[in-house]
Amino acid sequence: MARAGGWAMVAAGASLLLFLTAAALAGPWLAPSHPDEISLEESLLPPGPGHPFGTDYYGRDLLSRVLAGARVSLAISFSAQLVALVIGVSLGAAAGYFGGWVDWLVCRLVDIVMAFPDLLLAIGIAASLGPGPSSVLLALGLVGWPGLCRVVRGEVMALREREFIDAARVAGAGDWWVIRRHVLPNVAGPVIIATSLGLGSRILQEASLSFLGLGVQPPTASWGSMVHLGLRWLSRAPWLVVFPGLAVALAVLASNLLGDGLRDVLDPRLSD
Amino acid sequence: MARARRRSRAPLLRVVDLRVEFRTARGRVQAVDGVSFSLDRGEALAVVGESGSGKSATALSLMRLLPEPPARVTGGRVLLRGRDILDLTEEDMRRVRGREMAMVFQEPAGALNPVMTVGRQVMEAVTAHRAVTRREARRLALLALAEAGVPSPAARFGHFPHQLSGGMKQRVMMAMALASGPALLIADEPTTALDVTAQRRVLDLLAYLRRRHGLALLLITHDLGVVAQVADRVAVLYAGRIVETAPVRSFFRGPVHPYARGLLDAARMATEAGELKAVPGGVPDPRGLPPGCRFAPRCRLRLAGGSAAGARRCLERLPAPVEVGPGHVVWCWRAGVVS
Amino acid sequence: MSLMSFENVVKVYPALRSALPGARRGAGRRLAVDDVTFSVGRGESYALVGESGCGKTTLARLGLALIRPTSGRVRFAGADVHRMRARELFAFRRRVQMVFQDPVGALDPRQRVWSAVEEPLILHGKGPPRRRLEQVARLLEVVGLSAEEGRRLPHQLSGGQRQRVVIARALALDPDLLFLDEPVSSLDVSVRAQILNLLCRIRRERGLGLVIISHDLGVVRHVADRVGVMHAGRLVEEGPAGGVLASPAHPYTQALLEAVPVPDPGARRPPPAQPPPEPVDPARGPSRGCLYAPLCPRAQGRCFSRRPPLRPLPGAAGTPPPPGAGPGRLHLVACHHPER
Ligand SMILES: Nc1ncnc2c1ncn2[C@@H]1O[C@H](COP(=O)(O)OP(=O)(O)OP(=O)(O)O)[C@@H](O)[C@H]1O
Ligand SMILES: Nc1ncnc2c1ncn2[C@@H]1O[C@H](COP(=O)(O)OP(=O)(O)OP(=O)(O)O)[C@@H](O)[C@H]1O
Ligand code: SF4
Ligand SMILES: [Mg+2]
Ligand SMILES: [Mg+2]
Repeated sequence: MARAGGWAMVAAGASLLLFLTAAALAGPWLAPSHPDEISLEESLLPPGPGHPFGTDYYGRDLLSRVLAGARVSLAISFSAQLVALVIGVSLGAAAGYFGGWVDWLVCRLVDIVMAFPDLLLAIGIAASLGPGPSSVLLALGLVGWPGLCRVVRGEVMALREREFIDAARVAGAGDWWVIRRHVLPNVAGPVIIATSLGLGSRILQEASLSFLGLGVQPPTASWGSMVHLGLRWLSRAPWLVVFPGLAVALAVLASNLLGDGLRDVLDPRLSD
Repeated sequence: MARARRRSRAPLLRVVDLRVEFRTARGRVQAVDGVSFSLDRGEALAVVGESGSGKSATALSLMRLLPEPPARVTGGRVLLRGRDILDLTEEDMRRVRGREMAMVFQEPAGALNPVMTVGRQVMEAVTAHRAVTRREARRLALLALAEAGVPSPAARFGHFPHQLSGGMKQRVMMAMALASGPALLIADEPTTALDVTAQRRVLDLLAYLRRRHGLALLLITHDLGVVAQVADRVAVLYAGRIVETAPVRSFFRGPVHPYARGLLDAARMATEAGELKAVPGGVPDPRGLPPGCRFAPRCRLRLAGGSAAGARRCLERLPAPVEVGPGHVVWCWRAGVVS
Repeated sequence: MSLMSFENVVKVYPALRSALPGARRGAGRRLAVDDVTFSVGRGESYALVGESGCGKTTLARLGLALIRPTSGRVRFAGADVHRMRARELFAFRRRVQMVFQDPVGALDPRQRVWSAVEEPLILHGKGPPRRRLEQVARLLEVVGLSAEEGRRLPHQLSGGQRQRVVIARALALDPDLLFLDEPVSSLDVSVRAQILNLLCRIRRERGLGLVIISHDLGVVRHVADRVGVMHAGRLVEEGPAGGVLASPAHPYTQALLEAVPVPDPGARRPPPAQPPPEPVDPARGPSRGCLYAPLCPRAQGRCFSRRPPLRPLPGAAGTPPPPGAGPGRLHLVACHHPER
């Protein structure tokens, strides 16, 4: 039963995420106008036939800007999660597999990173690197890996006691072969789950950082910076906050659905 | 009155025409192909047979523990005290497992949680059907471990499965299975990793529980010595079908089916030097079985002295059961001829 | 010359410090192998039998350099296997293989059967892919698995089929020495006979040496040249298979042989009226004496105070060892009151 529900969640999450990504990629063709095209006489128009999401203070078409923002936000979040994935999996696998001082070192590193609230640390790193998309990407990646690292470390430690690891050794395999051929494939399930759940956090954090003005700089749009700019007109033109905010919520929901669904589907019997 | 009598006559477990198949990317494997037997309170049935003949699949489907998919029970009934457990909801089934019937699995690595201490696992089994305090649960778990023959159970309590020897793990599984006092124990090769003295101890425990508490036992084993020591009845499985079932004495006095005879010969020859005797022919491909007797391609009896029509009948038609003695039934076209 | 020799090997599993939930400090320290010395010759078949938990699997893992001894040495063709450099170790791995006790644990749940059998061939660079696959097919056939079964994942096989996969894998590299930990325990007598015949044939043809761990004394009697009987981490009796199994001298070996169930329901023991008594932990025996003393019908006096050394059976001089045969031919026993 849990399984059928799981598959439904996976399908919903994946298609939503796919839809958002496709919309972001097709943005330039879908958008009614150029996202940065200013037309002051159309300032702060409510959603209507010409501008489905309305316009902002400069008369820029909001739909076009949300689509353009999707490109930026999703690109940064996906890449940040990729950075987190690479760091988390390699450190986690090394710690779990080799144990001893490697494990000690990695665990302390995780402790340190986890000691700070994620967002605060990301702000600190991004600020010290200077504003811009690449520093946000790096900051989010550097903040996002400990969760994955812990998952991988735990799984690998349990795997290491399994006899097939010894069996591979007896067949002549070295550490690298064992990790690549026997350890990583067997942690793939939990890693996929943790990655898609983490993606939700990255999207949210990217929005928060851009909201604070640390991400892309104007006039380039990202969801977070759009919410930030829209706040000033909240009472007069609430659509300026509602649509980018909705986009963030939708993307986060999609990745959480995917992650939770995958957990239901993959966890009961990983070996199936 | 009549109801009570009827209930007392119904066996504890009755399996009728059970069929299980596995669906794989390359077609179906009919693992269990119409197995029927019954088991009474206090009785012990030993199931022996070819590797891959469907013994574990039968056992797991009685517990409803086969992963579905790829497995599917395609037919038959499993009546526990007259109630078909194949119809139960998963929740009702959970209540049946452990309390009514418990199982010792063939391989510890698949059945014990590698990241939980064995003590906690036994405690979980103890508390699954009983509301007791932690202290009490621990005491009962230690008792269960000692009963199953784990020496110094307290010292083993905090160990993880990989820290135990193969035989120790088997005894831990036995302790877990017996912890909640089941009426029926399904034991899938429960003593393969035990030395003969530890094995004797476990078999004594089972014999005691049968006598004292009426435990019914379904024992899957390859060791015909164990069969002779423990079982009341024997069923021989070949390619998913029972080919012979008999009271234990009758079986050892003279099995009739050629495969069963091959098994007993192989066991008795094991002590002699030179080439060991095996049942001739290879292990059958589950997809290449004849419509008739599954054993026919390997069978010598089929051709010996018989007519060509008889040999063909073996290949083409499923053998009908023949009762060759009291309670001793054989599925072989030539059973009447040879016994 | 012996192919592999264990010299005064001791293995203590350290207390576990684990991050896993429920672990208690200090749980786990255990003397698993206690000063064991024995050797296996080229093409020889040596059987280890003994109590469950007495350290047989641990010895095998020491012999394969999977774990390090606390003290003592394991030599293979003269070289200490625990001091080998990576290159030597790699070469050693080709020559010494193992069939693990629990096939579910020993097979990667995500690796198909043919890939598991092919893996050692890839690792040791045995031929181009086509040749390798031919060899895999041949190995599967030899252990009685069909090509269709070769394409399955381990959990899609029966217990005995998995056990045969592990055997096929161990044979893939054509090793010189093979450790077999309960290799045929979940095979029916007929398939078991086929596998044992196969092993004996390879032994005859290529001089494969075997260290076979088994609780089935019938199997031991059939394949072993020599037998070592272990109890509580120690070797308590060793000698030619015929001698040890036909006229055991150590009371533990005698108890073992006496407990073998016979395939005859007429010889059945009556069901006990009491549950079996609390098991005795051999590791908790007298600290200085013989560890079997608490269970031994012959225990008296110094059994409780002095550890009996492993030495030639007194009176076995009737059959003097053939010249040059070395100590391997002797019947040794560690008991103060040996009896035949
Ligand atoms: N998941 C699966 N997919 C496909 N076939 C399967 C699967 N599981 C088991 N089988 C097949 O079903 C048959 C019966 O398997 P089962 O485990 O019941 O055998 P068994 O009698 O217990 O044998 P053994 O004595 O070797 O343990 C075997 O041929 C096996 O290969
Ligand atoms: N990794 C480990 N950590 C701690 N103790 C261990 C570990 N592995 C084995 N032991 C202990 O060492 C002892 C010997 O174990 P071993 O597996 O060698 O026994 P065995 O002779 O193979 O027994 P069996 O016949 O039951 O498989 C046992 O008491 C076991 O609990
Ligand atoms: S029915 Fe025929 S083929 Fe089958 S076992 Fe009997 S004689 Fe052999
Ligand atoms: Mg089985
Ligand atoms: Mg062992």
